[in-house]
Amino acid sequence: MSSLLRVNWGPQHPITGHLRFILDLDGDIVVNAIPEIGYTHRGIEKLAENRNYLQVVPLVERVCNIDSFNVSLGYVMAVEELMGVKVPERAQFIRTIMAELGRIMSHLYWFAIFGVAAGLFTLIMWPIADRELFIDLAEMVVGSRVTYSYFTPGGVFADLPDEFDKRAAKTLAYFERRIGEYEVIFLHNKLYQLRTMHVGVLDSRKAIELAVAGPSARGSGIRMDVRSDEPYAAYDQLDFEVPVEDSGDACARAKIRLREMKESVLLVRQALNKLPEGPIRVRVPPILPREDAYSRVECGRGEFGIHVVGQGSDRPYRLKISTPSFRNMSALPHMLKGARLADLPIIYHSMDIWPLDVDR
Amino acid sequence: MRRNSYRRRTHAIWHSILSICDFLHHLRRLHNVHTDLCNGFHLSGESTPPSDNCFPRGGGRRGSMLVAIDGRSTMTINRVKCMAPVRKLLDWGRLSSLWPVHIATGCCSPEEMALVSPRYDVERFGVLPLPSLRQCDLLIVLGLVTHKMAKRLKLIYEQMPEPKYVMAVGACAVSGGLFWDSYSVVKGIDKVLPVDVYVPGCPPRPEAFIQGIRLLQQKIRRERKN
Amino acid sequence: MSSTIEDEIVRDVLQRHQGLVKRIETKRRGRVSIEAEKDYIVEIALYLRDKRDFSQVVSATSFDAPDGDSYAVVYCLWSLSHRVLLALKTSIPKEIPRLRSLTPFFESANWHERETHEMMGIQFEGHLDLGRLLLPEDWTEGFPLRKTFRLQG
Repeated sequence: MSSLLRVNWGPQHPITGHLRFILDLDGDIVVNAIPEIGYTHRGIEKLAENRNYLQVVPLVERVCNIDSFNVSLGYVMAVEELMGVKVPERAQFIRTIMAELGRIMSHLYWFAIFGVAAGLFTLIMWPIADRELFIDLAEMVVGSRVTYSYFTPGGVFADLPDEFDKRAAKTLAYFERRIGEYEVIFLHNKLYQLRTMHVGVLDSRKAIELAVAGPSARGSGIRMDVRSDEPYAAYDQLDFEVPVEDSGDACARAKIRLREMKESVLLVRQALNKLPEGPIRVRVPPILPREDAYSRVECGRGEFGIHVVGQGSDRPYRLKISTPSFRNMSALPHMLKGARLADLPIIYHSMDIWPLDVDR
Repeated sequence: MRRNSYRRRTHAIWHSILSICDFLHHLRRLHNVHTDLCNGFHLSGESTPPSDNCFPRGGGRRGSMLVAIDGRSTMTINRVKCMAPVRKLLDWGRLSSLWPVHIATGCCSPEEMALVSPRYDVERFGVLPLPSLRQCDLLIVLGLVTHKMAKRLKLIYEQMPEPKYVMAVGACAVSGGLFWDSYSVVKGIDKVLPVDVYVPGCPPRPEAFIQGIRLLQQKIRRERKN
Repeated sequence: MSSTIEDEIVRDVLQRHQGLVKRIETKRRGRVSIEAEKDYIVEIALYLRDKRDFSQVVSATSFDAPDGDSYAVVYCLWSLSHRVLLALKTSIPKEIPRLRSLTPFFESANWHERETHEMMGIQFEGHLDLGRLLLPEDWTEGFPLRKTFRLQG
């Protein structure tokens, strides 16, 4: 009878971020996996109670700074709902454009780290180089590379510059061709398929039970996307598809992300064509009323839920952030059972779990 | 005709490289180095089994080097005198191949990926992020460190062979940054580890990051003169 | 006049659990809020799961209630088919911060309750593993999200 070997994986490990797995191994098969998180816990929810509601924006966007546009959008939407503020149309379209650029950046970063996990160096270099073009676009609008504080309750803090249209069109045209190359070089690559097909399978019933979110859920056949379920910003005026795959493995989750990037390119183009004139911001009251509001946004990783409770002051009484990585993390022990140890990085990363997101 | 001249040129290049390599080959056989070596190293001749307790602790001690003899034992090269050209060569080798541990404690970590990208290409400075601690000599603390992670970071630092360096990147690593009032964040990594270079920013741009690496390289060069 | 799915859910719950519900309202499209006594939370949640497909707990939060004597606990349940988020709210006294756990019935509530226990000190009865999640193993400084826990700048 073979005895189990207890092995520690992390918190320093070859994939990015810090969390730990305590693995019970039978040879190289994982029999049991106990995740341990909290290595990057900052206490953002508590810190928000100590800041003015405007000062919370840079705090919240650092929950997931790879896709900080979408996260900060969730927070400002919750504050606007609390205050009963209606955001101007132009600001809604600008928010949609920047949110989709954020999604592309998030997925490109995911592909790059996937390259680290799978040991495919081209898959590290190509996405990380292409991501720089989108960072340039964001820098053109906001002035900074990754953390923006661009969305503010009531609108956005600055309008798009005049050259943005032209530059964005050029970048999107290049990137659309590039996605075709990604498909050929990566998804149709035999090595990539061997590493990802039938690896980390999550069936749809379990994905629903565990409330898995984002591309990780769509890869298991669950059609859920906040942008189509409860359209926010300008999504109700734009056409897009929600990609879904049925196989539930790591390859399906990667395909979803590639198709989402294609959809994001189309969404940005549509939003730029339909961008109305008008103000970009409205005045907001200085205090939060004694109410609560829950907003949901679809980030690159999945659904972010932001629950803000006001208590008649300028500080949130309570801020609760429900992150997709936290939800997806609870599915991992189930997915790792019976998997090979060498597949752990692929399975872990295919769920797009970012420890800063998990710990907040 | 062109092929022959190409062959002749490559042959000449290889020949010159191999002759240099031959010189280095003798240098690497440490028991043959009988005079001064790099701020004063000599072979202690001791074989000790690898264990964390015998790794030098604390910062600032740049005078010793730990080398593995075989799979189990290590040898500490202690301070002795060194010939200046040899010292210069070894310092050049060290500062031109700073290999950082892959640590991504905070939100500055995507900027490390940007560094590795073709646009900034930090590898041209010899910086190559590696997952194995035993192969690394630079610990880049990217962003905040929590109390929970600080204990593990100290373990990671202790497992790295000397000489090793620490870079605190980002406002959170320098002083706690945006999380200055957090109950779980260490207010500055220099409370846990000896820091050689501070790179402020939230997050710092890759150019600032590269400037930090260049500063560290200058510091290594200056250590020899001191 | 046609009724919305939110109105139907409100009607359903009132019909079945009239006496157990303290307050129920449709806040806006896709948002329903139910406030009930702590002893009836599990019963109402199970009814919503079985009859109205609220199968996922997407968030659980807790905070000091403004009245000062209790802790408010809010579960957010999501219905995939109706696309409605339902906030199930209750309050528990500060002297006895105990609540029956939803984890035996909703697997997705597991880590949310574990975090709430760690941050607010609420005991979820029936939860099998309320161990440490985010804080260090040797943490002894109390429950960070309680209002009595002061941040030190």
